[in-house]
Amino acid sequence: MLTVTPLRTITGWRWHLILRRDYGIAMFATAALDITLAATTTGDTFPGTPLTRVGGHSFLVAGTLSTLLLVPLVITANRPAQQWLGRHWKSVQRVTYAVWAMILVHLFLLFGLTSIFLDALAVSAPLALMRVPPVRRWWDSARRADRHRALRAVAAAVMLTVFASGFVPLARELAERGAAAFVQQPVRD
Amino acid sequence: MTDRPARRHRAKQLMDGVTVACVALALAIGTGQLVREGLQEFLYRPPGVGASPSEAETAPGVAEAQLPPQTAQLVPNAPVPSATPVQRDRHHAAHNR
Repeated sequence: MLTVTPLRTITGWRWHLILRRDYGIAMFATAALDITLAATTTGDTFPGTPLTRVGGHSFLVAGTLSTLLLVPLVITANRPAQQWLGRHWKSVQRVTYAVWAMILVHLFLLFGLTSIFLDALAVSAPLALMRVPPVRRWWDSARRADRHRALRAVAAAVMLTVFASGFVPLARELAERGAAAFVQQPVRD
Repeated sequence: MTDRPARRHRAKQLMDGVTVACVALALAIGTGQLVREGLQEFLYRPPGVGASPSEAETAPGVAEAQLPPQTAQLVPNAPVPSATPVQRDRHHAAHNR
């Protein structure tokens, strides 16, 4: 979902913008499933009530907060809500950045400066850079005027490399552990 | 009949309220657990969760079994020269002649 806007800035494409809403709703569904599974199936690791399993540790609170912050986003992810809020709709949707930050905090508290957190940072860095207003404005104007083509190509290649260096290990980790979890043979950390 | 900007402003305030309620709920859960369990438990990451090694990895016997043998263990100790001269028995000395 977070790649939609940087992809538009870099390439000028618009055909994929319609996917942003669906990706956002899918993100909420994934987070809701995650917190539900955490509350109901992690009793061995976090003994106590379901509240202990979603808020008993600092990293759990960060994860729960990021999931709950998705609620106002998903409530307003439709055209009637857009009309209802008017120009304020965008400011409500900016909560996405708080969710993004809280996910990184959650991963840092969970993994420290290793593995998945560093992968998430590598994925986030180019996406955050392309959202910095001066960078975005420069790229937009250079693309429209067809200037600095070589510089933009090199910068895009570097950002794609950094993004892939984080995304590929993340996807592999999720595929391996996810597949093992589905067949009820979880891989031990 | 209310005008549209005022209605949208109230809608924004309502959504701000929903956002604050969500944050307050998460913080209330966290604070409740923090008060009940204490700061150490709140910050502690159980074994096998995230970057923490699992109990099996931290168990002393298992940890030693998983370690590769040290170089010192692979190379036998060099014989220490004895300060006193070795006294051979007569039979051994005759055999060596």
